[in-house]
Amino acid sequence: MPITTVQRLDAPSSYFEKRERRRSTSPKPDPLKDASTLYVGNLSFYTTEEQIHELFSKCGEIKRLVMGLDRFTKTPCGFCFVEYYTHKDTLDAMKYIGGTKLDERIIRTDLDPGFKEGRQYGRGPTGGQVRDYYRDDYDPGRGGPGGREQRPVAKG
Amino acid sequence: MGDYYRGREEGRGGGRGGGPRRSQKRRHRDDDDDDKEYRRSRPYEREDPASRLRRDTISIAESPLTKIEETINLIANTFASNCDSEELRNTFLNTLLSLVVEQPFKIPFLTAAVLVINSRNAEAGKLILDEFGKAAQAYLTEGFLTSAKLVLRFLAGLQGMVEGEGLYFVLGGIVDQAAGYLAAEEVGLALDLVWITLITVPYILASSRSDNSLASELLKKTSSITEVKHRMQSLLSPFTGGYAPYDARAQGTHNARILQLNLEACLGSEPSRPFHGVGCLPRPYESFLQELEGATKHPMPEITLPSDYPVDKSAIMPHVYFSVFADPNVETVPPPLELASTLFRDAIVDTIDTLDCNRLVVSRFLIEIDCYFSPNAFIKRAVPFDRVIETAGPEGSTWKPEDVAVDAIFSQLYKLPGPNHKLVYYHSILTELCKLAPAAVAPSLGRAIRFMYKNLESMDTELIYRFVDWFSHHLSNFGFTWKWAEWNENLTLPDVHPKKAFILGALEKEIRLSFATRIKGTIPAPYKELISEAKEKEQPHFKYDSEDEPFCKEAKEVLHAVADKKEDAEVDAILAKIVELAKESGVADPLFVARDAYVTAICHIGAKSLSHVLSCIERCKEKLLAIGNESPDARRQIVGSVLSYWEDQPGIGANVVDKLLNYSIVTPLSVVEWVLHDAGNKALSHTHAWEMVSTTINKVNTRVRQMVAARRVMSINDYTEEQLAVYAQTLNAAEIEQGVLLNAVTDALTAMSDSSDEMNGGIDVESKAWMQWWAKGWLRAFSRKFGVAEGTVVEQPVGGPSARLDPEDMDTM
Repeated sequence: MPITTVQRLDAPSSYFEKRERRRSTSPKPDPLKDASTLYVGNLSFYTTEEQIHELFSKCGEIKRLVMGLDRFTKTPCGFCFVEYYTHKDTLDAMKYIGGTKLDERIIRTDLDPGFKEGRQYGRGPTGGQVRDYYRDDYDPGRGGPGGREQRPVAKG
Repeated sequence: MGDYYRGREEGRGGGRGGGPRRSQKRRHRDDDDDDKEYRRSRPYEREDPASRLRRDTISIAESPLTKIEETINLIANTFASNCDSEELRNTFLNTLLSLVVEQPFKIPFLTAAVLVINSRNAEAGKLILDEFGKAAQAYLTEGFLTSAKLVLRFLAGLQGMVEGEGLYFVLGGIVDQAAGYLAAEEVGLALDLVWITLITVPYILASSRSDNSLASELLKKTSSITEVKHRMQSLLSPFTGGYAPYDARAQGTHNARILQLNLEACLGSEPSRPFHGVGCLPRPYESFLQELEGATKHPMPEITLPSDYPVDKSAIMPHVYFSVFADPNVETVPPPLELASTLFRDAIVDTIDTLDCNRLVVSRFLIEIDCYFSPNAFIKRAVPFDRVIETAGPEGSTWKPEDVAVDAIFSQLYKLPGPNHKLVYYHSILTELCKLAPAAVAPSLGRAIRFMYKNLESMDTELIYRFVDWFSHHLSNFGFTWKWAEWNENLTLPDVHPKKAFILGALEKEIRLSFATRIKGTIPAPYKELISEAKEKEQPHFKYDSEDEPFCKEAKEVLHAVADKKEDAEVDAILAKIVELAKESGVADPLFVARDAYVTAICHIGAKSLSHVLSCIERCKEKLLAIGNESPDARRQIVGSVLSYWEDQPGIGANVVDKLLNYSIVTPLSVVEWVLHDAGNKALSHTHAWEMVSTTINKVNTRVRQMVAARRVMSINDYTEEQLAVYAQTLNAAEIEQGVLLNAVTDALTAMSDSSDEMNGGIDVESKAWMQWWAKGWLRAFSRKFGVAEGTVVEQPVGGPSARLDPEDMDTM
């Protein structure tokens, strides 16, 4: 029986809703209806696959784990995709793990229609994620200052 | 432009939120003023009466700042005078129906509002009563027993507006059914039905028309039913060996029996304190008593009980009492043999179970639990433990709201055979509680942890591992801070002592969520040496790099050949050379050496990450399968080689083995046999060993269960006889595998728990005693997982124990 008197934590964020709306006006089947993949964000660059596996396997067996990489350096850039075998496990991870800590950072989860080759790379101007380019704070877990502040290292 | 966007908002309707999105605002700043005005006026002034009524009803009793009488008055007036409007009527009824099954804490407040509605508009009262009669009927018929229980609780609160014996008639009928199920040996369902009936009674007793004599009659009928024990009951007790850290009468006793005793005590004598017994329930109708006296009474809506309940009867297990607070000096939670204990626990557990979609809401409810019971039932929030007695005074309650909440969560986290949701859900509630009210909850959790730690020696083995799992995960959310120093004296215990094993296991699991250097930085000096330097290395060393290792040169060749993706023939040639050399040097099992070199090479190539090892396994799948197919011993050896490579980070090794299991390179039996025979005599105290065996067995059990369930719905019309025969054969094979596994586990653990001196290579007497203790604990836990009752002779007929399987092995430990 669906819950109607409180909000759900396993609803997708507006990210895909917005993308879908921009692209077409005709109603399409919901691509997240049976989603078994999660986007996981706000990871430290140093968090390993094993750590992610350790936490997320608390919601069910993991089929595949794809680390997000800086598209230039091919090093982790703070996000990943976790694919489960079932939709239910995926929703459970949204409900029970999203917003808790991994490697001492609050992580963010979002339902994802499924990993496609190419999506493992950061889309920001410096190769990492866009948000790291625009942020103004100093975040030691994500390469220190934001991408705009990072000046190319002087040679010699 | 503004019109365009608003049009879209309306078009979307019903979604989450509803207000304009921030991104749109940012992009169309000219809309700003419009938007602001639109939003500000929306929630209050422009809200229609139906939505307003819905909002007031949903938030009933939430705020201690609003007088509950005023809210009740408002709701009652709005509905009593507007129930001609179809929209308002439907909105209110639907809101009530949802709230009752979703937010059980609010039921007594809702029923008070309905009583007042009835006194102001009898027709409106009757409408609600009849609607809930239908709901009860529907939930019972469909087998949604928890929802049915909550609807009955709502009707219990309306007893004052019903004629004659009212709800007691329905309850009596359910008890008769329970007696019938008991006669048919459906003990689980029988006890569940009695539970549903009895837990309704206190709410009638606390209603505006209580009648003790009818309750006593009902209790006489249920007494003998609740004396019955379930077949699995002795295995469901959280503590073993007859040890009771709390009232012995609650030790290993199912909740229905405890409730029966508590109700009998309540009816037999006056409560010693006004907030004891039924007195802990709120009575928000009391300010309206005068008005209620003249209200119209209606006939009880007819509820026809179904002839049978469409539930999986074999899966219903009785719930056994568990608590983490039993301080002999300060009663911070009601003791089990006090009705308030049962009433709090029941309402909290239902709240947790139904609202798992939003742990934040659940946590807020739990922090504010004192809003939903009698105002005197709890001491105020966050009173420090050592000031409870003084603050409570001679007459006041010493029950701490945060202790009662924490206790209920642990009762679910530690529920056997398994909790209703994944364990991590309960972890997440405890985390949120600590974030919401750290000053109140953190000390309470600390006492819970110390209680469990103190009682580790008598705790069920599976629960010890759940404790390790929760503890390490919890600390990972709070900077890994814990007062380790208080356990210093236990560091000298042997590693297999449950307390030492707990410390070692917790550190191991912390490292898995973090990394060794970090964890070393969070523990006091004496603990640091528990984490070896090898654990801090990024990758294990390849043992064949050492010149002392026999056949190291050839093994390195294997490594290079596999790493360079050479043809299988080339790898085979090197392996053949190893076998040859091993034969020459007189090694008993030459193939063993070759297999070890190959598997170790794959581990080393894949050591960088899980994805690396997975792609390497995928690439070498055929060869690995061939090696595994050589013999059962070969498969067992593959497991051994992996765990030996990952000796210092066995959690990763266990993961790799699990992947090999998925590829059928190793079998469930090879994993289980390796742990129970080859992993060394300390293995049973290691959390990764438990995880390997329980994960593997859960996989096998789940598969059989799913196949059995699927067969039940396979219709003869949809499948040919041949297809059905093939399916039956596959199922039979799976059941045989399950039976073999059960025998392997039982035989090995029985031998290990036996006192014979078979395996005492220089082990001290104390360690040996603890090893036997672990073996007994594992045996108990796995008997439960396989659904084998205590004292039953384990003899697996062909066909296996599928009909008697553990209903929930959801635990993904």
